[in-house]
Amino acid sequence: MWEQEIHHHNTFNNLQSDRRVRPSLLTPLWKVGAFGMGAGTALISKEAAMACTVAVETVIGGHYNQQLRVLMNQYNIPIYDKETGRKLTEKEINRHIETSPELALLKDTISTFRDEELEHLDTALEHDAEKAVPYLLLTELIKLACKGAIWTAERV
Amino acid sequence: MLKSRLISVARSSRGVTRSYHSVDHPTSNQIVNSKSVESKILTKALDYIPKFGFESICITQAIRDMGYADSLESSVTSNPIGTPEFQLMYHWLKVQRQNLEQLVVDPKSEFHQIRDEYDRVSYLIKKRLEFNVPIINKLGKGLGQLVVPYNINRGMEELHNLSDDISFYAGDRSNDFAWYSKRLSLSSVYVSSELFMLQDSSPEFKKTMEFVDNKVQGINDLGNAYNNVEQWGLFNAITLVNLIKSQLLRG
Repeated sequence: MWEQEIHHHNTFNNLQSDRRVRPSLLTPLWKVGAFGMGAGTALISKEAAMACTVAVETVIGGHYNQQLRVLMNQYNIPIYDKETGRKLTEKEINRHIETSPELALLKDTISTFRDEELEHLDTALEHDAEKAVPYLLLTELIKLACKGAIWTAERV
Repeated sequence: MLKSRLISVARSSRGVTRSYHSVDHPTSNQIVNSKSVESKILTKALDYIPKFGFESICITQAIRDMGYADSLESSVTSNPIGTPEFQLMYHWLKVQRQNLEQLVVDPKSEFHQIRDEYDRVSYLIKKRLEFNVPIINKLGKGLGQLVVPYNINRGMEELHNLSDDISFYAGDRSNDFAWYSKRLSLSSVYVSSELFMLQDSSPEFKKTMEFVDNKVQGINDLGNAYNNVEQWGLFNAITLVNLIKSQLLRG
């Protein structure tokens, strides 16, 4: 689990530098928040830490899916014929037209990482995550915090 | 009502959107669109800047040189970006940024011999300043265009693009807050060096080049100092925790 997470972290950091994407302005806040969340739940109990993992991986899985949806739909931008300039209908778009190697690689990376994150979710469930004492409250609060963080990080 | 408000928010927040630098489609990263008529005219007009400065007469001359009708000047004057003088300056900045990029992309360039990130930064800043040499007498007035309140947004954006380019080519891999501090400090180094250059009368602008080296060295030192203080702080925090633990054990 640890090696996989490090690998995810490094892969996306490198992609961010290569593609010249500006990091979020609130990066220091996310670092402190992530550390605080992990350390806080670990202080409560081992089960609480596992419940935290469950909540985080659920949100991440959903977020990866959302990203994949956007990439698969070509950002919802219509595709035009190269010669005639006519707008192509959905049926005319074949794999050859829609795939650029760069985006294909990005899609592959995201779907692999999503599957790995969901494996972590299963691991956490096997380790008694559901025995954490206010399980529902804990996971729902953490999910809400993660969703809020993603929403903000996408914008600022 | 709400919809129009949302649209205005979306427009005003365009400044914080994130661009994506494609690797497979290099043409999408071109800085100057070499195909549009306006940019052809403006590029041609740059040839007259050493003679006339950043004035609209350069554009008139360029249109006559290219054999277009004089009325085509309205394609530049009616552009909402700003006055013809400002557009000349803006276009000049973009063309020079593109020249800098070509210098880096060229595999034979001596840039690739330099290994250290900060040496690369100071090499790139010096190269960019050298592009100013042919028009140095006219540059002051052109820079004045950039700080007019109406134009300042575009001026700052172009300055940021330049420092972003420089740190990317120099090999910056930071993806935390250092990303911002690096680019901001490079922008300030560039602006102060350019202002220094306007006053510099030494042969081949030797003093300006020295000035750039000193400033970039200063950024490097500051970065090292920050890292050292961080390490020292972390060390002391751990020591403090251990000290408290040991005192508690003693009772």
